[in-house]
Amino acid sequence: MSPQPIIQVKNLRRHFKVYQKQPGLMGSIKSLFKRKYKTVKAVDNISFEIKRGEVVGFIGQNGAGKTTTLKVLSGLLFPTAGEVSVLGFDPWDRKPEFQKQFSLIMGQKNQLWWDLPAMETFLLNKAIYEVPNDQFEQSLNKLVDLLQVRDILNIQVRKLSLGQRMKCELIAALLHNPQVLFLDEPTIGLDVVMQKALRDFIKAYNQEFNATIILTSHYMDDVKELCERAIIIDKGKLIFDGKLHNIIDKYARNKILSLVFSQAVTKQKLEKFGQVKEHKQNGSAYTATLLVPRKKAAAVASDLLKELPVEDLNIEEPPIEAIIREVFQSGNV
Amino acid sequence: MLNFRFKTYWKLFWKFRKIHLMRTLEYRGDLYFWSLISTIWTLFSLLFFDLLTQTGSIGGWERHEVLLLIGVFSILDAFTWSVFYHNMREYTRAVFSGEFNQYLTKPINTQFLIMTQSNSFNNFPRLIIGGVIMHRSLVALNYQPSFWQVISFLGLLSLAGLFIYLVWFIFATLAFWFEKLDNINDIIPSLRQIWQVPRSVYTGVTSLILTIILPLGLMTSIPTEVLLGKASVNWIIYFVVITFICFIFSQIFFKISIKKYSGAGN
Repeated sequence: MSPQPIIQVKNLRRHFKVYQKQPGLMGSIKSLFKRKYKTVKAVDNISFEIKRGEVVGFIGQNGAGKTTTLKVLSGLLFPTAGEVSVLGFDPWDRKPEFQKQFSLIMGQKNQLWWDLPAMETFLLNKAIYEVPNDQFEQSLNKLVDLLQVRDILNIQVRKLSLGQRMKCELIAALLHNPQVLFLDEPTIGLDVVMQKALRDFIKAYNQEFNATIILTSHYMDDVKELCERAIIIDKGKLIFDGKLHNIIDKYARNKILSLVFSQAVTKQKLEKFGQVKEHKQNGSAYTATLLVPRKKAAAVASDLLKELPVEDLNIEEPPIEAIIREVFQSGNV
Repeated sequence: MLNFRFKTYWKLFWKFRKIHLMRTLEYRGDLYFWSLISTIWTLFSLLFFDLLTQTGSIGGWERHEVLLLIGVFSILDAFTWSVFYHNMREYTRAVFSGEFNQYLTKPINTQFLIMTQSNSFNNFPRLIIGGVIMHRSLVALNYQPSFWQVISFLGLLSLAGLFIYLVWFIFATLAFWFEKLDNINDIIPSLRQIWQVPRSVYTGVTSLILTIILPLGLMTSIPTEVLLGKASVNWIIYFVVITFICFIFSQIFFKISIKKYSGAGN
């Protein structure tokens, strides 16, 4: 029997009224007396369910509605319409029993006291979340070791680097061992080494606590490494919900054929097999990259081997980020 | 359960005080400077009213009665600046910047967090000065209030603090309705002079507005009158009732307003 969903979203809508200013000084003067408003459908009738222990990636362009959805799930925003249940609670009720079981971490916002060492915020959160002494000690030690920040706990937050601060933010948000994590761009602004460290940590936290995690990120590496399932949102609408690799089946029209030739082959010759993405000669090496329709890939590869001096041939799926980029750019949703 | 939560809130209240004391001590120059400014301000205010009352009374209040009221005002004002100003400023800033998320996701009453999370220690000398002025005025008046008068005075002074907080909170909550209100937290400070004088100075329409409709004129007068044993029971009852009405209104207004929170960007 599959586990019960712990996050249920049904026909969720969140609309905002946005003021539209007319250009120029006259527009500003007119706006003193009369203003035009436009309704922005930040989230427009989306439904999904998430089971305990799942790590789900929210993918979408800026303004697609990802953060708005997370804010509704956290009880920060009142939904315009629809039903939302997280851990059996209506988030908007903001019951302490609910709030003690989740954490919202936004990469661009922080909760650490700027003028004091991070340890003071940890102790404050211990009091806020009513964490017993032994659990606090245990969780703190575990998190500090996992993130390797023991030596910076008593340094003023304002003197820490962005990566060190983000690690401390994570500790502050996880000291009460939340079952549900909403991570909004947790790796934003971090260098690649720190991004990797945070991803490893999130993965370890999910495995150790069977925590349910929703993650939004502009870095596809975050999503690829952490999430089996992805939800794609575009202009407030849900356009894909499924296994990450299914995005390829659904949206990738082509496969990539990488070729190495033993002697020069003209571009014109290659064009009859598919779309030539790359064609170059590097010293004595002749290489090319072709895009061919997925269904014909095997047959085209066979023809290439027969007709051209192919030394090496590789058939690859296009990278997910390229597919998603293409989906959004073409509006083919 | 309730007892457990009370302990949590009590602990949190002092935790915040400790954090702010630590923060204040990080910037000692700032602490010295602002303590000096607030002390000078109180002494000038005292000097002004001392000069004003040397030739007679204000609104039927004798010189030392007025000075007693100034002492009460100093204590209330020091408290207002120390607690409300910092918290309200932080509250509205958080709403405009979207950092209000931090208050809403914590398993603690949002209004408790708003009201207690911040404070300043710069006005501490003013509290002492206010107490000294009160003591000296009572000695000059040769008046010894009874134990119950002192208790009633403290209760009504707390109620005055609550009323000022509620009115300020209602104004600050307008932050949910507008994209920007820079001077939203200057409204109440700019009205402080209203309760720096006895309520009897207000007559006619001004009295109707400042002692009945928006009774800011009662804030120091009623507690001082109680201490002097010349308070009217009707005014005390009105003071309690209007504070209660204001409390109910502020709660309803907050609940409606919070639905307008958009979290600054999505």
